[in-house]
Amino acid sequence: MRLILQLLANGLVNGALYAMLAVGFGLVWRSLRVFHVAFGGLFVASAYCFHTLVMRVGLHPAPAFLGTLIFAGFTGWLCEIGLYRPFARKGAASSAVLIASLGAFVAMENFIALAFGNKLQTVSRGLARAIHIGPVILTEIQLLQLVVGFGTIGLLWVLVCHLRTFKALWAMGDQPELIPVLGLPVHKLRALVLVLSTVMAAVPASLICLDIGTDPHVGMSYLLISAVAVLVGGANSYAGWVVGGVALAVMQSLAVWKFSSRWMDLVTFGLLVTMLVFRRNGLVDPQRRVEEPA
Amino acid sequence: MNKGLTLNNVSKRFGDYWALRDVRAFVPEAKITAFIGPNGAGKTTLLHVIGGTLKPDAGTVKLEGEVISGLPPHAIARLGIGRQFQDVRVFKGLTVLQNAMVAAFPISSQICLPTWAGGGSESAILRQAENEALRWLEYVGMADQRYALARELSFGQQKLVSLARLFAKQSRILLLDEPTAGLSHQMIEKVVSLIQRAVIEQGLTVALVEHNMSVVADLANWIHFLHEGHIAFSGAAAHVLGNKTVREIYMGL
Amino acid sequence: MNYFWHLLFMIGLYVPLAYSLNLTLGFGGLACFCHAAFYGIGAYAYALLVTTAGMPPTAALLVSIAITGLLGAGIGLISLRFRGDLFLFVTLGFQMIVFAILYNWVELTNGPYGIAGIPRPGILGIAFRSPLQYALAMLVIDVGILALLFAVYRSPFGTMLKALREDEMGAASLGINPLSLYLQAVVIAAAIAAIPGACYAAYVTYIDPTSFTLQESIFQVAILLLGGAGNRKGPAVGVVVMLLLPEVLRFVGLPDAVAHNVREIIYGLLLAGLMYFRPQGIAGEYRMT
Repeated sequence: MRLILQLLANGLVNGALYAMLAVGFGLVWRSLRVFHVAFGGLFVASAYCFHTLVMRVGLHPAPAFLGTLIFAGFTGWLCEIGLYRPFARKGAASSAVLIASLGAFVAMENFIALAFGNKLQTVSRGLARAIHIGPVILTEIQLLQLVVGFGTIGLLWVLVCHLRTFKALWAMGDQPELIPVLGLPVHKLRALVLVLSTVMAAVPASLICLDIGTDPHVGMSYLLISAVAVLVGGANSYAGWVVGGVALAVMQSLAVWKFSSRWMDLVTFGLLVTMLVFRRNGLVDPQRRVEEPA
Repeated sequence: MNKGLTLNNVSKRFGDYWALRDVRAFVPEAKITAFIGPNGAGKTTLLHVIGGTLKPDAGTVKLEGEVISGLPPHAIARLGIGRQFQDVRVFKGLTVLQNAMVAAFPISSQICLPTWAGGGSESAILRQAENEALRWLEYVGMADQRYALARELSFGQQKLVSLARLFAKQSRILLLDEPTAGLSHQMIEKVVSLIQRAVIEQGLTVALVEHNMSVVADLANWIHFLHEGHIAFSGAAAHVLGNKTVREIYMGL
Repeated sequence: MNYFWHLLFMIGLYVPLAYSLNLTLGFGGLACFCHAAFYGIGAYAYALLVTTAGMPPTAALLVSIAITGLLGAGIGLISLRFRGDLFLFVTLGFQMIVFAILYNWVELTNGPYGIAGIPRPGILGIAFRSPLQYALAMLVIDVGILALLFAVYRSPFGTMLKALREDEMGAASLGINPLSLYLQAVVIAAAIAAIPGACYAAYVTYIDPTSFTLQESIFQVAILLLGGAGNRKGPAVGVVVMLLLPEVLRFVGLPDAVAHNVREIIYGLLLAGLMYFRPQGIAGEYRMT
């Protein structure tokens, strides 16, 4: 019993991180209709930025974290300007954009490997203090991840519910041709999505880097996690992304109990396949009217 | 047993909106039946349900007494029901000839293995399909463009190619979704005469959805008038077109 | 000179990979990102059959083709519930899964340590030794495979596959069964990818999972997209250009330590640039829609 509670707690902590990743990926998928593979590359770039600021520049983690967020926003903006906007201008097919995004991901991953080496990079610190909460034990960093994670998600949720900008973003996903007609600034909205999405990747990237470090090749695993969480939860709603992220993390955490952690990618992906086969539109599915068959 | 298509209480729902409610209609053999009605009346949905791209939530579609609703689209197509879509759906990256040939291939050639077993019969099938395709391309007047890619054709020419496809497939029933929408005057005349010839010469059954009332008046033997997802009125063409209620709802006359 | 024959063998190895992927990606329009997984399954099945099970090479080759075809059918059945971006993502997931299995199922595959001591095949009791002999054998196999594949390309089946790629609903309305044709294409592509897999294992006599990664799948897709998909010229162009590119880089004199990463960066940028400037590749007919 105690073990299950501990695993659930670990799952919840990771759930906070995954939920942020899912939100970052989901925002782009929902409003730009782009399968944002480069997200994995941006995640790794943020992790390395955080690592550099702490270990090479020597900043305290808190200002380094803020610096990383600014850097992430900038790279997200670059990604829109340099990658997605030209394709959108051309009206390119979604699979062409996806493959281009994959190409960008591969280039980013190897550029980072070239610049920083293939080794795992950690942020050195003293032994993390363990904190007892009832029957479960969490490290200081886990607690930080939990609080910052759910805090960020909650904050963004409030914004999503109350800002009209997000209504415009959802509308952009449903009927992109309508946005200029309504007199809304398409390019600014698109750039905003990418900036926001990358910041949402940078928060877990920094927190994970602080905890277990990073290497240049983790991008694909985290991309897989983000995309699976979005698809499992339901591609069209913020709540779905969060639920998907948490559900995936808890599943993985419980799977560790039965299988070795080597099989994590398999668990992630097995969950996706089961979900897609049995409940195609995800856990949280706002009813929509579909007139034409797909 | 009824020859032709029978719709028994067909209903289709999108969320809490009923696009079709208890549609009962008959599409008689070797005649032209038109479904008319204002936008959003459910005409295209009806063709999707008959063609199998949408499944009805209630009711059945029968072809000569056999239930066909619930079958996948390709199975319904193999029963001799051919569809022309509103946006034609020609294979844009293939040539005109290939477009028609695809329709003329026998079902057995959808299994790949025999390709390797007997090389001889393979080219016979290709030759036969090519002849058949050319014949129908000539019939619709597109044979001289056979090597052009479908994407290079005008919308009207694409409609002609898609008609040739339906003929090459040896469809017995044609479901045409707005066959003349977006076409020039001459092209409309051409399509209308092709449809008439198909019924007279080949004895095909036609069900069509159309907004152009003069086309409907030219072509249709029977008319079903759809309004808000159900059939408000049906009967012989002249009778329905002359009906006061239909004129009020539809044409505002 | 041996190096030249080695290079020729590698080109011969990638020809069937590119041409089989062309059936799914170029003809069917299915962006299949698990082709390296099929290639790897073929290599591992062959290696295990000739080492652990002690089968003769020809029998092992046939069985490994059958195994890969069967697994291809399973992967195809699940992935083909989806189209477009989701199909791509699900096949990419399968690529990750197959790699995870090759890497972690130590009892079967010996995990990261790989399988060593794969016997060299031969004819009439003389084992192949030099790259020249391997290259010639590969050439013979390639001719056979291409004859089979070109027959499929020009058959009604091939044309109908293209029709599905252009418009699935339109094709189904003409009586074409999409799932059946797509599945056949995936199975054929998988089964054929097993042959170069086995050839590779027989050539290097040692395999490990790192030859069958997602990067390898991306590389194979890049070959096809660069050369051009959907016809008979494109894949050949792609194979030659992509395999000679590293040689050119070597010529430029990049240090070995960074060569791999630089190559990957070039492939990545190439892929992105290609999608923007020339989505149909150098000599292709199919452009992503």
